[in-house]
Amino acid sequence: MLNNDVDRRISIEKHAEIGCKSAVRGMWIAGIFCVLVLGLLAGNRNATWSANPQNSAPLKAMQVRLAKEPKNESLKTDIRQLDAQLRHEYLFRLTFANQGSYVLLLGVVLFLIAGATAAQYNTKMPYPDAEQQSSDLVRYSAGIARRSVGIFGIIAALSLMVLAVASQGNLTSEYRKAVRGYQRQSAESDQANAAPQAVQSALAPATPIPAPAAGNPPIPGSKITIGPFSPPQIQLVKNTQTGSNKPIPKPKPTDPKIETVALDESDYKPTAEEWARNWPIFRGPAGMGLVESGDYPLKWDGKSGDGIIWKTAIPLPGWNSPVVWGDKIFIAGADKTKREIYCIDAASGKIIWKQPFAMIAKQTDVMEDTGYAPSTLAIDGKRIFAIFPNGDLGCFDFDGKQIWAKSLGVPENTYGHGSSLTMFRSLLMVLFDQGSGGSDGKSFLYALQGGTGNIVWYAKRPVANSWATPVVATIGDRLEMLTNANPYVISYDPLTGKEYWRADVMSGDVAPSPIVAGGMALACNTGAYLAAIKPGSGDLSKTGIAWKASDGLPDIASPVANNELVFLADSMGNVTCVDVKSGKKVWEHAYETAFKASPSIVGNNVYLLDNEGVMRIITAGRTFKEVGKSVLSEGASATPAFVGGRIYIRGEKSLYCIGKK
Amino acid sequence: MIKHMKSLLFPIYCFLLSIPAYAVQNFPPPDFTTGHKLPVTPTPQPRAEWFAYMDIGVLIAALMLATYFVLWKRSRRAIGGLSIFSLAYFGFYRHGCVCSIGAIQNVAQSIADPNVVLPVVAGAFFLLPLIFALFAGRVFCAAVCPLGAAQDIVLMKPTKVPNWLAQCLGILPWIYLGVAVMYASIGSAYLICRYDPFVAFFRFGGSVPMLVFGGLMLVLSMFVGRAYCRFLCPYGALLRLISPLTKWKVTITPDECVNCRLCEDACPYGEIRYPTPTDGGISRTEGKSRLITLLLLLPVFIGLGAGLGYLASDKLAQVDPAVSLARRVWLEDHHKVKGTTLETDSVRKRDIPKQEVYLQALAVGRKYRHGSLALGGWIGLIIGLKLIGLSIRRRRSDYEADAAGCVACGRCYMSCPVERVRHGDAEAKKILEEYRAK
Repeated sequence: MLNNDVDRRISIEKHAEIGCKSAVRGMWIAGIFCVLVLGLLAGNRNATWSANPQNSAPLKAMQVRLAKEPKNESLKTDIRQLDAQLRHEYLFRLTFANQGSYVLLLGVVLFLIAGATAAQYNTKMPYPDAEQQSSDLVRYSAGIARRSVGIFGIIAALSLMVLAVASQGNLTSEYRKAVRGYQRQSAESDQANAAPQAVQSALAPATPIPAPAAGNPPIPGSKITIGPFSPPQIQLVKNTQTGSNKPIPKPKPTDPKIETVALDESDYKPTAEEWARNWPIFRGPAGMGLVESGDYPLKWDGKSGDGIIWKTAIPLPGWNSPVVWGDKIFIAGADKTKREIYCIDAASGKIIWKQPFAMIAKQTDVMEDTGYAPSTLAIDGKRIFAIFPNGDLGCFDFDGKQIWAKSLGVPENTYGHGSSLTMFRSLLMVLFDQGSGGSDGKSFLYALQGGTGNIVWYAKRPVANSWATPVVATIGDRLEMLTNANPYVISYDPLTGKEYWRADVMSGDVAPSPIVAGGMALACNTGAYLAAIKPGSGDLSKTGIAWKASDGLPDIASPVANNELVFLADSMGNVTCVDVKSGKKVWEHAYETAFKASPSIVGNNVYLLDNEGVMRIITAGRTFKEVGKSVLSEGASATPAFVGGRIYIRGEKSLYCIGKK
Repeated sequence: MIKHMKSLLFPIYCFLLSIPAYAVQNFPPPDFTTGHKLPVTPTPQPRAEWFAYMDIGVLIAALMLATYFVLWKRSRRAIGGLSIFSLAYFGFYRHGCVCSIGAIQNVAQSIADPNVVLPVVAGAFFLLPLIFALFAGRVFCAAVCPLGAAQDIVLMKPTKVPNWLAQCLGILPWIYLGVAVMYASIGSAYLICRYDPFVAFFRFGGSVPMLVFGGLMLVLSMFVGRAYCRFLCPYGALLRLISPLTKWKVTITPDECVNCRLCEDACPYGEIRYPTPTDGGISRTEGKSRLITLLLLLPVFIGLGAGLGYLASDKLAQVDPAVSLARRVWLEDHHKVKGTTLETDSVRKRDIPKQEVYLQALAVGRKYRHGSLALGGWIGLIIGLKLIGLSIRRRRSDYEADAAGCVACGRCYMSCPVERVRHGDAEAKKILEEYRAK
């Protein structure tokens, strides 16, 4: 019995010994194999680099030669041949490397399996020896550890010292030298921009027009001025009358000093009645898409011409909406190289005049959806104002003569500046949001004297680039100018620029303009909310929000509301109705189209113009009901104008006048 | 059987890890226009919000299971199984992000910069393992962390790291924590993510240096158990801080320790503490005097570190993109380097005044002076506290798992005869009776 046990044990031990030796041999074989494959792959790597067409010296030399001899056909053929040859070689090398890696992987796996097997054969069973933890051993071990940590500490200190010494040769002092003069400029500018930036007391009708401020001289021979609030970009100012280019003497790196003047309305101020009778700004007199009365058509057909009074082709493209004053319609068009303002006769549709607007700042790149003329013009009853994505701002009289022009600088805008101009009394309001927001200090709201272009007040805005248009409206018993941007909806006093309140409720790329309904400011954007803000003062982010809704949030089109219901239309074709008091969704309807033009409420109907040029007319009520559907003969994205029983719609190429002939 | 399975699992695991080596190969487009339109690289859709909450749910479930396996079931096999799941889910499926280790940076940045919002999922991944550590020790390390699991699975032949070296290397995670927090809070870089050795494997792609680094860490982990966890992981440093306060500590024996010493070498991570001699190994007078000296020196260490850190700030700041851009612009303008980079070309094309670039670098540099001061002080504090820790007398009568360092892997359970008896092992019962008789 005993012998059997001993024999069995000896047999197991022999097997283990053989197994262990085999495993170790396997490790060696696999290891040597791996080293060989690795060597081949390393050699292949060098060859791969040489075969890469990007690294080929002969190919580069031939390309240089081709640049000098662009018509040398045989050289082109040689280049093609060499290029193809190199690509073939390169692809072969890559395939070799790929397959070689798999072979290497196989070798590594075999090596590890053999290693693991050998390790298992060598596993030792626990066999505590006699030595326990003696005091001497513990003391010795702790002492060694302390000394080691001490040495580690010294090494850490030495490493920091090396970094400290290396830091001494750093360029910080050079940077300081380089920015010394520059900082002085910035400091002056910051001082000038200290809040509140609002102005000179607002109403001074008898005050004469002040002389141009220092640093803002008129250019002889024209009424174009170099903008006193030129932003950081270096820019060329083009004198449209002489055609000469003059660089601004010293580009100002940060917010420049902005000269302001007192408001002077002695020149011209439209009456309330004149204002209400026309369509002077984006979305009508109130800027909120509201048309209270009038007999406006419900049915027309752009293809057959039914209900179309006239249709006029607009020479240059643009997404801006028509604005109307009396019997004249104004609209802008632009492409990358030129820009024009058009005056169209409302009776006949004929273009009365077209006025080019020369580039002041260099043209900027814009998205196709923005185009080069996205901002709607503004009219004060005597003058027309236009702004373009490169920050060029111009003023024209009703005969097309340029009165003044200036550059606000090329804005840092993701898609291209698209906010429309708006008017309040004789003030031209320019929302110029740009940059990424926060404390970058790049966004501004400007109020300019319409007749001169001088700045009456301005406000620095802590927001990112936005595309919404400001709205001036009475909320409660106070006149407020509302702006919508990321992250704040901000209300200003339109006469002084003093900030009344702000609410942190927005996010993303904000394009829908704010409105007023039910005694509250309503602002929305896709990805954020439709927020109803009760007017107040200070930061209303927590205390002033009446409600927030998340249904049907528009991305481009602005909301429209009567005092009971808000209507939203988005570019997915959804139309949503929300209760003004509660913020609860009343109904929603999905069209298979897209809405970019902002909806308007005309009497008891909501006019919704989609991208395909189809006007869908629904009742402005608590249940969805379509009462009309009419088409143009082309697509449309601009918001229509409703004046005197006629609807003016800008299509992709033409302007339509719709109504009774 | 299990050993054979392990032999099979390892090569499969290695194979999976090696796939990223065949990463995307760049190839220049042809020199002549062919009319072929290069395909637009699709932007991956952001994960649906509910997915993030699902991740939190999976994390909580995994932590609860790990707690159960470690404290109640005491099963190494179950812990290993959960490790493989965590490696598959948090590692390969979730591509190693979000992870608790990287979440340190999110938390640091959101605290330092009020404009940075801490994502709920990052906050949860940061807090939950710490909360569990308060009650059940490092169960997160045991079976939930994919990085730990990756190293645990490849561990083949553990080597004991000498105590002096382990104590020195044990300082590194604290320094790494300080450095990572400084860079994240200033907003320059997420170093932990950038130098995560395993994320390149999890994502099936990465730079060659990171693949090599990851490969080396795995090879090292075959012989030095959880090398990254023990000697680099900054989250491990935080868990080390909390684990000694654990309510239910991981124990080697489920009952009474009989001092059989069979577990002495059971821990591949060297986290089993032996019973101490009756005098604690250090004479009382000698120990007291050393302790007082070190306590008095602690402010000196902190001050020295802070001073050196402050002086080194400019060099440390060069990690920041704004600072490195300014440096490059200056060097190019003064003809100290040849050629330009994409970034400097962009500055020139966009007409950005160079002074703006320099101003930005100076502004960042100011932040770094404060950050480096704090970092240097932190390093001094850590080294000082380590020395103090090594000078404190500790008394143990049993073999114990180190509450701070034990990663609750469960390898020591079955080395204890008391545990084996619990599983019905008759031979272990005999051994136990012998020891009890002694």
